[in-house]
Amino acid sequence: MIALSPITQRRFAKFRSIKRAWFSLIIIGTLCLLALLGPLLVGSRALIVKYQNEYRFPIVEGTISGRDFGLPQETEPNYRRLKNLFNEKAKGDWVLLPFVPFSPTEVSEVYLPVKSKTEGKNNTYFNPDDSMILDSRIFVLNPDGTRGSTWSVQNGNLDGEFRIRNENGETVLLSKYVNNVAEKTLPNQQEIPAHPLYSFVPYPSPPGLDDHILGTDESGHDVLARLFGGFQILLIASLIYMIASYAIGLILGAAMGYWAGWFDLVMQRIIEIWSNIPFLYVIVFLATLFEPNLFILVLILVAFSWIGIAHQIRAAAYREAARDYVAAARALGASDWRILTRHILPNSMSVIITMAPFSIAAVVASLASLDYLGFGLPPTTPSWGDLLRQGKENWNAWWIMTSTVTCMVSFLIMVNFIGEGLREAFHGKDNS
Amino acid sequence: MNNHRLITVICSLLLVVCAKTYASEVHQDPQAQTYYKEKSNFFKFSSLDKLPKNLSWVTDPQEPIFASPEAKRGGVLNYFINSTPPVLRRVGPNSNSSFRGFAYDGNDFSLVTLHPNSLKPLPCLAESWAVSDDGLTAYFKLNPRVKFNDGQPVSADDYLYTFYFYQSPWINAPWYNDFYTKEFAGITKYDDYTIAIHLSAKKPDPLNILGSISPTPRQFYKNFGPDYSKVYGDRFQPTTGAYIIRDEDFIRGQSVTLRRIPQWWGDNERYTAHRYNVDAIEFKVIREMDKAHQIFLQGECDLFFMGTPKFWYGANLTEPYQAGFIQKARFFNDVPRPPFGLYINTLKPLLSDVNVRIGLQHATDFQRVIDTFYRSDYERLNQFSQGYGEFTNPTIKARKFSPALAKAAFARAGFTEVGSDGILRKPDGTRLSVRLTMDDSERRKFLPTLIESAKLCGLEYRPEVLEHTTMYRKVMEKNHELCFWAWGASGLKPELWQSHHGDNAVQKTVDGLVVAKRQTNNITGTNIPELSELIDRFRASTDKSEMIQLSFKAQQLIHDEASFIPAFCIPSYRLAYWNWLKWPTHFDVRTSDDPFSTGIFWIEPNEKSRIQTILKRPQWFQSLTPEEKLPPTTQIYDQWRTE
Repeated sequence: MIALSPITQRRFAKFRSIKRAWFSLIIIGTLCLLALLGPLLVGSRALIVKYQNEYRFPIVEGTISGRDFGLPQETEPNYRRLKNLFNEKAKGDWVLLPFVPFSPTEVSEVYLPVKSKTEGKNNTYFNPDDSMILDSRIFVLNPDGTRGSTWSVQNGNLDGEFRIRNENGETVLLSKYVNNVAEKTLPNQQEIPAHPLYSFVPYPSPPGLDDHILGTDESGHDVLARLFGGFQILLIASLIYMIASYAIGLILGAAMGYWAGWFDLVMQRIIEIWSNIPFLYVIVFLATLFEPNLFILVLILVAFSWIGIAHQIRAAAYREAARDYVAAARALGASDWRILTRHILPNSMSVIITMAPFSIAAVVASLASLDYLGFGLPPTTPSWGDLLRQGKENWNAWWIMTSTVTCMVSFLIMVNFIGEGLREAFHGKDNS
Repeated sequence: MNNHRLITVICSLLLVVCAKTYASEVHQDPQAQTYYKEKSNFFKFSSLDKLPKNLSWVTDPQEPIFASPEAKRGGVLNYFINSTPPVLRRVGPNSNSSFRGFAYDGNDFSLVTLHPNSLKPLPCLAESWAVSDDGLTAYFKLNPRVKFNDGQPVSADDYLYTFYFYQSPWINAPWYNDFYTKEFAGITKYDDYTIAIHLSAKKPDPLNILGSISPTPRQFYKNFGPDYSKVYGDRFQPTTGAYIIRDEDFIRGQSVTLRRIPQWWGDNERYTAHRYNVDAIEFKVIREMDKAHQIFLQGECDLFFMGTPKFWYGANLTEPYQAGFIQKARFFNDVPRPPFGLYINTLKPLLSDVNVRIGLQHATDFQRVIDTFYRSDYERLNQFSQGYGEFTNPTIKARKFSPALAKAAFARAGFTEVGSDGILRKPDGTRLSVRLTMDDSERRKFLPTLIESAKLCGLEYRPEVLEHTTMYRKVMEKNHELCFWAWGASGLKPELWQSHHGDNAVQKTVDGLVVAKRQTNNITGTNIPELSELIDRFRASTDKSEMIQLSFKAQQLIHDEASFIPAFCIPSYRLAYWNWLKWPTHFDVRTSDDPFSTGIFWIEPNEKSRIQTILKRPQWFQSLTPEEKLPPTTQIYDQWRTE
C-alpha cells in the first residue's frame, strides 16, 4: 500500500463521496482497460481455431494461410466465414471469435438470403422478413465471397438485366427479362438457379444483420468496431496531448510566475499575439499542405492550448513565490530549479489536476470537430467525428448518428463529472 | 387559362418584333469590317464564279430520322438547377457553368451535324458541303431558311463574325482565342449563302471541325467592345436553337425559363422536325438534391436524373411509382467513356518496375467496389480508350483481381518475403507500400474496400485524401504515386498524345538530368518510343483502316505497360419521369448523355391533366381506383449497349 498523506486521503474520500464523479471514474477506467484489450475484444482475427485436432491462435500468430484450414486460397481466411463453414461441416472444428468479430478498418458486405415463391410460371422473390424485393439484384455467392450469376428483381419479379457467369467469373451471357421472359438464354441454362440466392444490403446497413450489432457505416465498416477504434485513438490522442501541453504549459507558466519581471512581460505579449491566431484556420491551412495524421493534429492542438495551462500555473506560481516558505528556501540557498520543482509546482498541483479532465474533454471535442469538418485524421482511421459527419449526411441511417452521439455525449459528460468531482475535492469548502 | 392568354400575347408580340427586324437592314459592325481588312489573309471575300468547279457536293444522305412524328407541341416542362448561373453570357469569365449546356451547347446548331446514331454527317445550317482534295478546306452552301431565334436571318456574314468575335481579346476567353486563331487558316465568303472555311493543318476528319462552326449574331453584338463581359453579362445571345431566354425570364435565385419561339426554322427540316416540343422549360433554383427529389415526387418537376443509387433504388417505394404515374428508365448510351481509374506514376522508384505495376493491377479489386458501392450498376472499364467504336480494341480486358496472380507478379519484381503484418517485402527490407491519392469526393468512401483487398495480396495502400484542387496540383507536379483520376472523353477517336506521348513525360534540366515534365497530362510518365511513334503516325494518318490498326497497337502497348488500372465506366444514364412525359419508342439516341440536348420528348396534355387531377385529391393514393392505376414500370433501353 502506498502511504497517502492525510490531506490526499481526505481529498480522495471527498471525491468518492461525490457519487456521479466516482462512478464516472469507474466506468471510464473500465472502458480504458477494455480499450487496452484491443483485438482481443474487437477484431477480425479469431482468438483460437481448432482444426483437425490442432489449435491455432491467429491473433498471436498473425497472417495464417487459408490452406492451413483446408481452404483453397493462400490468403488469410475470413474467420467469420470459416466459422460458418466449420459449423456446416460439423466435424468438431471450431473458431472462437472476439466479442465484436470485425476490425475497425474492415469492410464487410451484408448479404440476405432470398426466399422465392412459385406461382404457376412466375417466381416472386422476398426478403427474409417476407417483404417483397422491390428493386435489387439477386445473385449466387461463390465460396470465396465473389458473386456468380446475377439477376435484377423489380417489384418481386425477375425484371431487367441478368448476367450469367461461369466458374471463372467470366460473363458468358448478358441479357434482360421483360415481362418475366428472358430475351436470350444459354442452350442449357436453368432459368432459375438451383443454388441459394442472396441479395446485398447496401452500405450503411441497419443494425442486427450479420452480427453487426450497431449496423455498418457508409463504407461498410462495423459501427461498433469503429466506435471502439475511435475511442482507442481518442485515448492515445488525450495522452499525447496531456503530456505535451502540460510539459510546455507547466515550464513556461511556472517560469513566468516565478521570475516575473521582464521575462513575464515579454512572454505575456507573445502569448497575446499567439492566442489571436485563429486556430481553425491554421488547421485548415495546414491540412491543405500536409496530409494530417494523429501526431500532427495533436501537436497543432497542443500548440494552441498550452496557453491556458500556462496562465493558470503562472497565477499559482506568482502567488506561491511570494510566500514565506519560498523566501525561506531561497535563504537556505536552494537553487531556482529546486524551488520550482520541490516547492512551487507541488503546491500548484491542485490547479493542474482539476484542469486535466476538462482538457481531455476539450481535445476529444476538438478532434471530433476537425474530423467532422474533414480536416482530421487520415481517411481510413476510425474516428467519432467522421461517424458524426456520416450520421449528418445519412439521416435515414439513424444508427450511425444515434450510437455516435450517445457515446460522445456520455463520454464527455462523465469526464466533466470527474473534473467537477476533482475540483470539489481539491477546492471544496471542507478543505479551505 | 391565364397562362395561355399570356403566351398568345407574347407570341404575337414576338411575331411583330420578328417582322420588323427582318425588314430592316442587318447591322454591320464597323470594327469588324476594319478587322477583316487588317487580316485580309484570314477573312477573304470572293465571288461565286471563283468557287472551284470540280467539287463533289454532298447533300442530305437521307438517314433515318430519330425524332417521333407522333410528338405533340406544347406544355411547360418543369425542371431544376442547383444555382442560378453566374452569368448568362455565352463565353468569358464564369460562363462555363452547367447551365451553359441548356442555354447554348444544347440549344444551338452548326453547319453540319452528325447523325446521333449512325454518326454520318447531316445537313444542318448548311444544305450541302464539299471538302477539297487536300482536306484543308470545306465549302458550305447555307440553308437560307435558317434564322436566329431573335428573328434575324443567318447569312455568311454571321460566320465571318464568329471568327471576329472569338478572336477578339474582349471576350476574355483565351481558349477560344487560341482555338479560332490557330486551328483555322481562314474563311472565305463567296456570296451571302456560300462560304468556305480553311484549316491550318491536316486533320483526320476535317469536316468534324470545319462543320462545327456556328454563326454569331452580329445584330445582337451591336455594342461589342472592351466591356463585353459587363454589358452582355446577363443577356442571352440569340442562337439558331428553338429556345430563347428573355431578360425577364432570368430571375436570380429563383428561376430561369427557356421559351420556344413559335416559328422555328428547324420545324420544317428533316432532322430537326418534331424536336424541342415543349413550349417552355422552367428551371427552378433548388439548392439541395433531396429537396429537388421531394419536389419531383410531388409532381412539380417533370423528370429527375437518378444517377445516385439512393434515389434510383428508393423510387420503387414511393406512391407515384406504385401508382404507375412515375416511370423509371435506364438508357444505355454509346459514347467515349471517361477513363476512371488509378494512374500509376511510373517515374517513382518502386513503380518503375512493370511487374510491380502488373501486380497492382491484380491487387486492386474494382469489381468489388462496383458490386458493393455501385450496386453492380456500373461496368468494369477495360482500358484507357473505351467507347470509341471501331477504334477501341475489343480484345483488351482489364486484369482481374487475383491474390495469386498479384503475388506471382510481385515475386517477379523481387518481393518474395512476407512481413509479420502480411505485407510483402524484398529481402533487403523494402516494403511493398505505395501511396494512393484521391480527392475528397463521394468516391473516397470506397477507398477502404480497395485497401482491404490489396492487403490480401500483400500490398499496402497508404491512403491520402486531398481537397480537389490540392490533389490536382500534386498530380500536375507529378508528385503522386498512384491517384484516382479521370479525363474527360469526347470525339470520335481516341486521343493519346496528351496522356501517353513521350513528349509529355520527361524533360531534361539544364544540368542534363531527366526529370518528370510538369504540368502535362501524361500523369503516368509513360515514355515508350514505340508508342510515341504510333501516336504520331495516328495523328498524321487520314486512312481509317490504318488508324484503326495503329490505335489497336497503341492500346495494346498501354495495356502491357500497365500504368493505368481501369476502374469503372457508367454505361447508362437513369432517370425517372412523370408519365405525361412521352418518348419515342427507342427513347433516346445512341450518343446522348441527357435527353435535353436532343429534345425528342414531349408532353401529353390529357395525361398530365388526368394525373394532376388525381394528385389534387386528399389521400390520392388510397383513393385510387384500379382503372386509374398503371402498372409500376422500369424500362431498360439497351439497344446501344456495348459493355
